[in-house]
Amino acid sequence: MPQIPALARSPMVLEDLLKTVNLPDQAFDPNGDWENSYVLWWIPFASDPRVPVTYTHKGPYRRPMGALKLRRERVGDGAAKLEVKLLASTLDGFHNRVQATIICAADSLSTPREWSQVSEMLDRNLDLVRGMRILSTGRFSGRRVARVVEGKRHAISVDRPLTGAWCLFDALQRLPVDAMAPLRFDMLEEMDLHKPEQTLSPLGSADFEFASGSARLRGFRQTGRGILPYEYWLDDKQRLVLAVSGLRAYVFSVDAPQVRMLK
Amino acid sequence: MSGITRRELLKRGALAAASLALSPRFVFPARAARPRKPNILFLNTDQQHILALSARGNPHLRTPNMDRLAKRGVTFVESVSANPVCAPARCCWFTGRASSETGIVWNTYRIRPGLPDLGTWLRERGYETAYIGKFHVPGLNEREIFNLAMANANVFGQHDDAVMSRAAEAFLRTYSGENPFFLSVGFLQPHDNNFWVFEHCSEAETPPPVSDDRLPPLPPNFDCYENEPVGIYRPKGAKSGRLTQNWSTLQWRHYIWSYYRMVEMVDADLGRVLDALADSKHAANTLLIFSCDHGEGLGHHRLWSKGFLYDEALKVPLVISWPGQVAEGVIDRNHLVSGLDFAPTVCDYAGISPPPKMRGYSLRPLLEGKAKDWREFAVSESNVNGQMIRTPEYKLITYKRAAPDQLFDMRNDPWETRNLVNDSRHADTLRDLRRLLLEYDARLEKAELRLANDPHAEQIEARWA
Repeated sequence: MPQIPALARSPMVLEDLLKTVNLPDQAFDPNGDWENSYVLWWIPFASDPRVPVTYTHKGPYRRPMGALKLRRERVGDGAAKLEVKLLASTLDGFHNRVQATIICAADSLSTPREWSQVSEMLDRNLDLVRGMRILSTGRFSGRRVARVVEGKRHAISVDRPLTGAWCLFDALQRLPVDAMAPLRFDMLEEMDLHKPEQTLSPLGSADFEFASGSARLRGFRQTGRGILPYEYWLDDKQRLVLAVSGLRAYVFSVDAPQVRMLK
Repeated sequence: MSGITRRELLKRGALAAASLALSPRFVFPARAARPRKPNILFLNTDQQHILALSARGNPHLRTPNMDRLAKRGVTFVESVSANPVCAPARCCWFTGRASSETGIVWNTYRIRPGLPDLGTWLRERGYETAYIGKFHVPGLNEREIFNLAMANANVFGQHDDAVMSRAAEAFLRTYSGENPFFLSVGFLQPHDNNFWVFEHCSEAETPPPVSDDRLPPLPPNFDCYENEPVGIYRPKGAKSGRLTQNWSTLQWRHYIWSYYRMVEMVDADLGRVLDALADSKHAANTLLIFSCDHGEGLGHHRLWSKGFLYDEALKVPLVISWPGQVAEGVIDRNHLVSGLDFAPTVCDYAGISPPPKMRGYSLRPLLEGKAKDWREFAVSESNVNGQMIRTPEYKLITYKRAAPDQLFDMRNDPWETRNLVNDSRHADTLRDLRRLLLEYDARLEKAELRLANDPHAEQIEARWA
C-alpha cells in the first residue's frame, strides 16, 4: 500500500494521469538558476461510480488547458528575477497569455519586491483580440502593495508577509519539508488578486506512480481565503513537480504541446 | 388568518414603498443631469447563495469586492430567480419571459425559436454588445447575437473565471467605440461546488483541511423534513441526493467551508473587473447590475445545488448601481423582484422599448425612489413541474404530481420549516395564492418543449434518470 498522508488528496485524484508522466531526472538546485514548466490540467474527480462519467477523472472534462513556465535567475544579494509565462486556455478557443517579470527577495516566501506584467487575450490562432493587452507594474514595500495598471494607480495594505502565487512555486522548493513551522502570509494571484490569510504547512510524504517509475514526493499544504486547499509535491531534488488545488493541477513537463506554445 | 385581498396587497406594497422612501438610509444622491444612454455592465455569478457575501453580515467569508458594490448601489433582499437552474434562469434574463414560455425549463432543453433576445435587441438599437464568460442558453449562439462573444463552455470557474475577468478587464480598459456598450460577464464560481460534491461523495469521509472550530456552523434549518415533498427534485430525491445521504455533519460543514472559498475566489475576479471599470472613462456613465442565476442549497434542508424552490436555491444576490443616478448603500427589504425584471430594467435604462410580452417590470422606479406601487407577488418555476408564488407574507410551492404543496409564513418562518398547507387557519391564504398562481399561469404562452441537441447533456440526463 502506498503511504498517503491523512489529508492528501492528490495521489488519489491524479493516479491515472501521473502514469503518463515522466519525472525529470536532471540535477536541480533550487538556490541556483533554473527553469520549470508545467502543464495546467483540469482534473475533475469523482469518488463514486454513480457520478456520470462526464464529470469524472476519466471523463471528457479532464484535459490540458494551458501551461506555466517559471525561469529563475539570481541577480545578486540572494535576490532573484523570476520570469513567468502563463497560457490559460478555454474550451471555446480563447486564451489568456500572461508574461511577468518579478524581482523576488531572498527570503522564505520569495517576497515580490517589484514586477511588471503583460496580459493579452488571444483568439484560437493566438492573435490578439481587439487590442486586448493590459500592461501593469507593481511594487511591495512597507506592507503596501502599489500597482499601476495602464497608468492608473491602485494600492492595498497587507497585514502579513506577502508572496505571489508564482513566487511561492519558487520559494517552497527551498523550504525544509520535514520540520517547518507553518508559514502565514498574504498572497497575490497573478500579481493582482489579493488572497489574504494563507497558511502553508508540511504535509509529509506520499508515494506516486509515474510513467518513469514510482517516486516518493514530499508535500506542503496551503489553505486560506479565496483558494481551495493547494497541495504541492516536491521530488527528491526539491523540485516542485505537482501542484494540485480543487479542479486544477500543474504537472511538470518539459515537452508537452502546451508548454511548447509558450516558447 | 384572513386571506390576502388584492387591495390589501396593494396597500401593503404602498406602505412598504413609503417606509423605504422615509428610511434615513435611503438617501438619493443629487442626481446629475442624465448623460447619453448609459453603458450597461452585467456581472453575474453562478449558484451563489443570497447570504454568501460579507455585506449581508455573513462572518464566514470575506467578499470585499461584492461589499463595495453593495455600498455603491441598491441591494435587493427579496430577489428571486425566475427558475433556479442555470440555463432556464439565464434564458429568463435574456428574454424577459417565463421559462415555460421560453422552452428552457431545465438545462437540457432548447429555446423556443423566434423569441426575441436581449443581445440582438440591444445590438439592433445602437448598443455595442459583448458577452464574456458563461452564457448557457441552449439554442442561442452568443457569437451570433453579440458583437463580441468570448464565452466559455460552462465548465470550471476555478480556471475560467480568471481568464474571463482578464478579458472583461481588457474590454473595459480599451473600449473606445462611439456607441454605448452592453457587457455581460458570466462568472462560473461558486458553481464548482457541484464538482466538490462529486469528489467527496464516497463513503469515506474526507478530513477537512482546517480545524473543526474554523468550519462554519450548520444552517438553522439543516434538519427540517416535516411534510416535505420528497423525490420531486433532484438534489434531494432518489438521484443526486444519494451522493450526500451519508455525509456527517462535519462533512456538510466542510462542504460549506469550501463553498465559501469559491465565493471568495469569484469575488477577487469580480474585483479585477470593478477596478477596470473604475479606472476607465466609462465609470460615471455605466449602470452596473450584479446578480446570480440561482442560489445554492448550502446544507439548508440538507440540500446542495439547485433546482428546488426553497429560498436557498431561489433567492439570489441583486445589487444595482450607477453613480449619481441610483441611491447608494441602500438595502431594499420590501420589494419582491425577479430575474424576469432584468430585461425590462435594461431596456428602460437604455431608453428603448422592451421586447413584447415581458413578464417582469423595470426596477428603475424602485432604484430612483419613484415607485408608487409594486407587484403583489412573484412567481418562479422549476423544471417542468414546479411553481412558486410569493407575496411579502406567504410562499406557496407546488410540484405537479407530487404532494404535498408547501405553504410557508415567510415573516414568521423565514427558514421554511413549518408547512402550513394543512393548517385550516391558513385555508383562505392558500386558496388565494392558488387562484393568483392559476391566473398568472393562464396568461403565459407555453412553449413546446424540445430537448437540446446535446448528446453530452442527454447522457447526463440518462444517467441521473
